[in-house]
Formats: sequence, C-alpha cells, structure tokens
Amino acid sequence: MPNLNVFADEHILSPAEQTWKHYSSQQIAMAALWALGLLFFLLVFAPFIAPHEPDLRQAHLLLQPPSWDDKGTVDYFLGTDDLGRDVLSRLLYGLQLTFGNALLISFIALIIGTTIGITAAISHGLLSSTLHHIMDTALSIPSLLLAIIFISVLGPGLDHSLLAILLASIPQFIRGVYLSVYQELQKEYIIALKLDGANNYRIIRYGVFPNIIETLVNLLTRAISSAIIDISALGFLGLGAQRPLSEWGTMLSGATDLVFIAPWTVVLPGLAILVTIFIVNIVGESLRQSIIAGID
Amino acid sequence: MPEKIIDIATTTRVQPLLRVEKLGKTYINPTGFFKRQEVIAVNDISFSLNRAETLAIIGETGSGKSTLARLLAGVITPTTGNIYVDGCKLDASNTDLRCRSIRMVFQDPETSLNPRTSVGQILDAPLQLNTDMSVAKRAEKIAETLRLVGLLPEYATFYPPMLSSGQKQRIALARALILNPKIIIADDTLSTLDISLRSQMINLMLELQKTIGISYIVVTHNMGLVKHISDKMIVMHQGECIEQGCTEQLFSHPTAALCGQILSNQYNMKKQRG
Ligand SMILES: Nc1ncnc2c1ncn2[C@@H]1O[C@H](COP(=O)(O)OP(=O)(O)OP(=O)(O)O)[C@@H](O)[C@H]1O
Ligand SMILES: [Mg+2]
Repeated sequence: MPNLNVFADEHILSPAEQTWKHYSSQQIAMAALWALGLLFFLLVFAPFIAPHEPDLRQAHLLLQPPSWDDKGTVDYFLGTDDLGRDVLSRLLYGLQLTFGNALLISFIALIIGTTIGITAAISHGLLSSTLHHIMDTALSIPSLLLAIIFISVLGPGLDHSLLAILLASIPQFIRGVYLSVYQELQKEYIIALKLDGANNYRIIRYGVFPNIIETLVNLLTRAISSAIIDISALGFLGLGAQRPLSEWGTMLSGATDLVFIAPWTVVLPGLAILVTIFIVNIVGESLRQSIIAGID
Repeated sequence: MPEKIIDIATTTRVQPLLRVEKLGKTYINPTGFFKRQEVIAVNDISFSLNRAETLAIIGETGSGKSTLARLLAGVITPTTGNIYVDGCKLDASNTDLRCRSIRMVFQDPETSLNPRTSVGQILDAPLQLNTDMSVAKRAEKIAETLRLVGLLPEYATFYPPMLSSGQKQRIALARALILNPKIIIADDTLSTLDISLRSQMINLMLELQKTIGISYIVVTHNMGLVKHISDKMIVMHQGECIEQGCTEQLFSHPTAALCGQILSNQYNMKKQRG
C-alpha cells in the first residue's frame, strides 16, 4: 500500500501555538513582554531588591541628586527626596502599591464581570435588559468620576480607593463580555453545537470561550492601564493612598513644590507611571492582534 | 368500537420514518413597549417521509422554508403540531433521540464550523455527548467518517480556516453523518458551492443514500436539483404548503395555479441564467 500519510511531517499549529508564533515574530512586542516580565520580577521581589527602607528619613541626605549627577552617589541611585528618603526604594515599593493593586483589581473585575456578563448573555430576558439599563447608566460616567463619588461616601484612603476603582471597572467587563458572548451565541456553529446536544456549560466553554479571549485580553489591558491611572490620580488628589505611602501618584503630589529644585522627585514617579502603562498596552495590543491573526 | 379498530390499524401499519402533523410556528416580534407583531412563518404543515427517500422543500424567499427546516432539526420549538420519528414523538424530554436521528447541515460552512476548534474536536462533540464510546473508538469513528466524505483522516488535526470551502462543506456533512442519523436536513447547503463542487457533493449524498439508506430533506431554489434528486416535494407559499406530492407528478401536472407558476418561474430562470 502506498504511503498516504502526506501530512505526517507537517505539524498543524493549534490557535495558541499560532498566536505565539505571530507574537514572537514581533520584536517590539517581545521587548515589551520582557519588560513586563521584569516588572513582575520587581513586583514580587521589591522588598529584597530595594536598597533602603522606603520610609527611612535621613536628615543629612536631603534632596540628594541621582547618581549620574556630579553630586550624586551610587548608594542613592535615583537620589533622595525632601525628607531624605531613597527614591529608588520608594519607587520599587510603589510598584506594588500602584501596579500590583491595579493588576489585582483588574483580575477581580475580570472574574466578576465575566461571570455576570456570561450569565446575562445566556439568560436573555429580564436580567439582561435590566442589566443593560444599569450598565448604560454606569458606563456613561467616567470611571474616575465614579470612583470619586464612591470615595466621597466611603471617605479617602487606599483601601476605599481600590474598592471604588474595582466597582467602577466591573461594568466595563460586564458590558464587553455580554456583547461579545451575545454575538457569539448567534453564530451558526453554536446552533450546531446545541444540535449536538451540548449543555450551556459546554457551549460556553468550547464554543464561545475560545472566540472571546481576544475581547477579554482587550478589556483586561484597558482595565489595567485605567486602574493604574485611577489609583495614581486618586493618590495625587489626596483621595487615595495617603502619605507617607510611596504610591506613585502620592509621591508626585508630595513633590510638586520641588519641580525646580529637585526635578527628579517629580519626573521619576511620572515616568514610572508612563512606562508601566506603555508596556501593559503594547503587550496587550500585540497579544490581541496575534490572537486575531491566529484564525486567518 | 370503530375508533379502537382504526387505532389498532394505524399502529400495526408500517410506520413512516418521519411523520409531521400540523406543524406551525409563529414568531412574536415586540415592536413597541406593549405592541407586538405576529409573523406566521409556518402554518399547519403535515407530511411523512420514508427511509432512503428525499424530500425537497421549495418556495419563494420568505415562504418559511428555513423555518420549517429549523423546526424539524430542533433549532426552534414549534408553536403547534408534532413530529414523530418511527412513531416516537419528539419533544423537549427526548432531545437525545432527535440528536441521533435528525441532523442538520447548515447553509454556510464558513459560519457553521467554529474557527478555533479542530476538525477532530468538531466531530468529537456529538460522539462525546450522544454515545459512550471510548476515546480510541471515537477517534476510529472520526477517521472512518472523514473517509466516508472523501477526506483523509489526517484532516482531524486541521482547523477550519485552513480548509477550502468544499472541504468545509464535507466536514459539515461528516458532522451530520457521524451519529448514523436516519434523516439529514440540508438548508440551502448546496447553493453556496460552485457547480463542480456541488455535483461532487450531490453524488456523495446520493451514494450515501444508496449505501446507508439515509433520508434527506433538502431546501433549495434550484429546480434542476429538485428534479434530479428528490422523490417527494413540498411547495410553500407564505408559510402554507400549497402543494405536496411526488416530484415527477408535480412537475408535469401541478394542480394549484400558483404552484405551476413557482415551478416554471424558477425552472426557467435557472435555464436563462445557466
Ligand atoms: N427569528 C425570526 N423572528 C421573526 N420572524 C422571523 C424569524 N425568522 C424568520 N422570520 C420570518 O419568517 C418568514 C419565513 O422566513 P424563512 O427564513 O423561513 O424563509 P425562507 O423560505 O427560508 O426564505 P429564503 O428562501 O430567503 O431562505 C419570513 O417572513 C421571516 O421574516
Ligand atoms: Mg432560508
């Protein structure tokens, strides 16, 4: 018998493998992924890497410039602030407060929002139409404003601001997930799956889920970057993290008087916020593009 | 007791494979807060179908052909009427019987196959859900079904975007065939294919009918195809069945005036075009 197995040496890539192949062929995306990996490393090991305590005040080392300045020292690599605290250590701890909390909030919002969104899309009835009206109202208010309203009720503080941002970001997930699951459920391959005798769980898990990952990645990217902005904005306004916490927005607000004497105390936390959002967005957007590229 | 005698007579008579009684579907569209509009898409249709027969459903656009096909496949639930397979009534309580006996091939293979699941997974789902075969048995069955529709078993590892539309159509047919159904419903399945692929598919379907004895219900606008493959036909107009019967007889002697018009219109249109 002739060997009909012509495909034997050709490995068929699964969508996940195809996504990775597309992603890893983009240099900027890969650089951003490494940078994100570094951020995660710093996030977890910040207490071990930070050279000083974030709150350690040294009266003899006020406003020490960064190490590349003539008057700077390597011991205080990014200089010190007006209370003699090491800026590098504060930024590293701030990574946990700003980026870490933004990640935490976004993942919790993802889980809650996805659950509600999927439930609503399946039970298209009273639940979904009620939800629709509530969501429309909630989404017409910017999330930062919504967070400020929550805080005016709860009172300022890091915990309250996190709770407020969480509550403000859940509607985005519900809305996004609801819409894409609802659209997905109209597709013929879902009807075909139903005719195979699949129950709701199976339809969602095997029919819908693989096709909404792209939406989830997109929503998560946006949620993380807007959470970073909201946390630091509330910190800057004095409604979120309070001094002496080294949350990046709080660090900025404490340093605004020093713009001309010690610009590094303002520029560095600002840069940290900017770079983190930049990295998150590049990774998220490239990942989304690669997932889409996987199907054609 | 005359009724009882009739009852015994009907049950002892050979059952048709599929019997449809007074099937109807009314869509209710909310047009305002309290106003709603009723669309009678299918009204009071009855017919029966035997093993290895082909039934063609024809009619103008919007006459309710797809709705009827979807009712039979169980995509939508009828507002009135009943469907019996081998004398067994189909309803919500025995969906597995319906899954195993009536399967549907959708119009467009581009949208009826999930782009992110492999062909193997697509074909595995009905087996997993309706049989208790082992993993190895299922893989064997998938390979066998792929061969049946003229594809190599290696296609099980492919994903739909990698296939041509003719191959996708074959996969869709394989998904319908894999549970050894008695009836396959094809809603306009063939009209999206080009002529050579279409004739390939038709030959494949006719061959399967000869070897396995499957019955088909075919919705189509193509009168040549109706003449070629069908034994019986139903002519629909605005949700009603205006005529049904043997294909040859209807083509030569349509009784309803409207029916004759539809048949000759569509047949001539096809002749003019191709
Ligand atoms: N989901 C729905 N809701 C409300 N009305 C519907 C729905 N689906 C179909 N209809 C209506 O039912 C009627 C029959 O539609 P159907 O799709 O069965 O026609 P068809 O004969 O298949 O037409 P075509 O030849 O164009 O495919 C149409 O008037 C249509 O508007
Ligand atoms: Mg139709």
